[in-house]
Amino acid sequence: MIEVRQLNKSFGAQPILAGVDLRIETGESAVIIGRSGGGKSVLLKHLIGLLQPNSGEVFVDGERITRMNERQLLRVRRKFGMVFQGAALFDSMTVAENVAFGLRREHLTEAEIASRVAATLEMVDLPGTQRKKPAELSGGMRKRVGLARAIIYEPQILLYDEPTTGLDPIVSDSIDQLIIRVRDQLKVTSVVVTHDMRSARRVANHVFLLHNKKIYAHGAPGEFFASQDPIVRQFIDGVADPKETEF
Amino acid sequence: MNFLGQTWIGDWLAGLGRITILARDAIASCLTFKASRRDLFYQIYFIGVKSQAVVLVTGAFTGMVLTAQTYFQFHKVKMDTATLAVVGVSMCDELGPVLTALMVAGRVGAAIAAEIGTMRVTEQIDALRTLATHPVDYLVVPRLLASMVALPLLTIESIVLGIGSGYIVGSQLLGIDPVYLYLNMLKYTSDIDIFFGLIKSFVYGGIIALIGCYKGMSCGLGAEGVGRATTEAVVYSSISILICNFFLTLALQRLFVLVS
Repeated sequence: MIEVRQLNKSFGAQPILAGVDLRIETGESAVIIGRSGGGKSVLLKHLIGLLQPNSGEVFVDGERITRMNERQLLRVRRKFGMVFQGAALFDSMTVAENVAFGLRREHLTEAEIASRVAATLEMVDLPGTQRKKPAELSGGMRKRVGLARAIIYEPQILLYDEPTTGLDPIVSDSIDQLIIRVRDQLKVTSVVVTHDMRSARRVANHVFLLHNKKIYAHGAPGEFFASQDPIVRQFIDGVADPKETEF
Repeated sequence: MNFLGQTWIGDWLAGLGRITILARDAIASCLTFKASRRDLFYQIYFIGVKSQAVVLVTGAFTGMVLTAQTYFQFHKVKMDTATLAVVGVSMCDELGPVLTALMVAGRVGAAIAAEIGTMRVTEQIDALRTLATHPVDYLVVPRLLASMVALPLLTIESIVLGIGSGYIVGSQLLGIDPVYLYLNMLKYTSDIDIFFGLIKSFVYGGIIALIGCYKGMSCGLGAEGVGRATTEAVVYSSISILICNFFLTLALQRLFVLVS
């Protein structure tokens, strides 16, 4: 279970999050939507301790991670896997070395590691790509390798930062299916940050709208997407504010 | 304090504080052997083996020019055979460690800052952290240890080549008696000169790796940030080496006097 209480974060004089409250239950598939530059990725990075808030608390399975130092956080992060917006693959390593990275601390034999890597790459529909370098992969393939790297050590919580951004609709659809497949097969808690409404509808069983630096609305997908609140509707329907289209 | 925080002095002090914390974390990590042996050997290869050409050329030509200049002055007072003694002491105490460190700072310090800086802007350092790996253990410690091992070895090569090439220039080109040239060098160059040179190069190795890693890990976003981090790593390492050289020379000489 992840709980965020009154989280505030500013970069310099620019406030990004102001009083965010959030609760994600174990096994839930939460989707955080909001406008570009609205602080979704910043919020996601707080959940795993990559960023420290100015004030407020983040609890993971009842443990307050906002007071932990980097070494203490390493233990908590073993529960997490994270897929980055740009995949963040280690470009000096091959696909196999990238995927195996999280296994290196588990003292497995090379044969066991190779077999786990092959099985995980099979799961993300990228069999036989072990020897390729990240530079040789397309955007969709890089995200799949990023996902393989995040799930190989079977974390309890998976965080996805804009998993379908910059991908064509067909590849986006396959990534969505992959997220659902991973969630169902590994029984993980998923937190997906996106502004792709189609993706949010497919993946979510709890939707949060981050608006004006805090969680503006949240609920089950059926209830959320039927909302008549003008802010929620505007975001779901993708209607621009008339003031923003004046040049 | 508020005034300090808004000036370049405040920024400089804050930077000094951050690099001190990085050094403390790296030393703590070194003591608990968290670094991978494979990464350490790769970094020794990258810093030590790959820097050989530049260090050897620098050492050889420094020895040669120092021999020629010393001979031109000593010849006026008929002290030709003391030429290589000056070259020996200079190479061991000062020129060997300092020039080697400056050349390595240019090559390796820049490469470390650029590599780690690129990893930072492409979120690879964040990815490391999400994979429960401390960036200091994985990125800083192997480079720091490798640099502190490789630099003394490179310095020895530079000293040997500098004195050797000076000997050849002195005996073959300038016509100095080779036996007296060599014996005077042995007479006036002591073990302690070599020892001081090695201690200095060990410290400079740490400075180069630490500043390179710090600049990479704290670099600004985008290509501009990486470019600036790379330049600053070389400039700050070089300046730190030169400043540190003065204080280390004084400290080591005082220590030597006290001990002996």
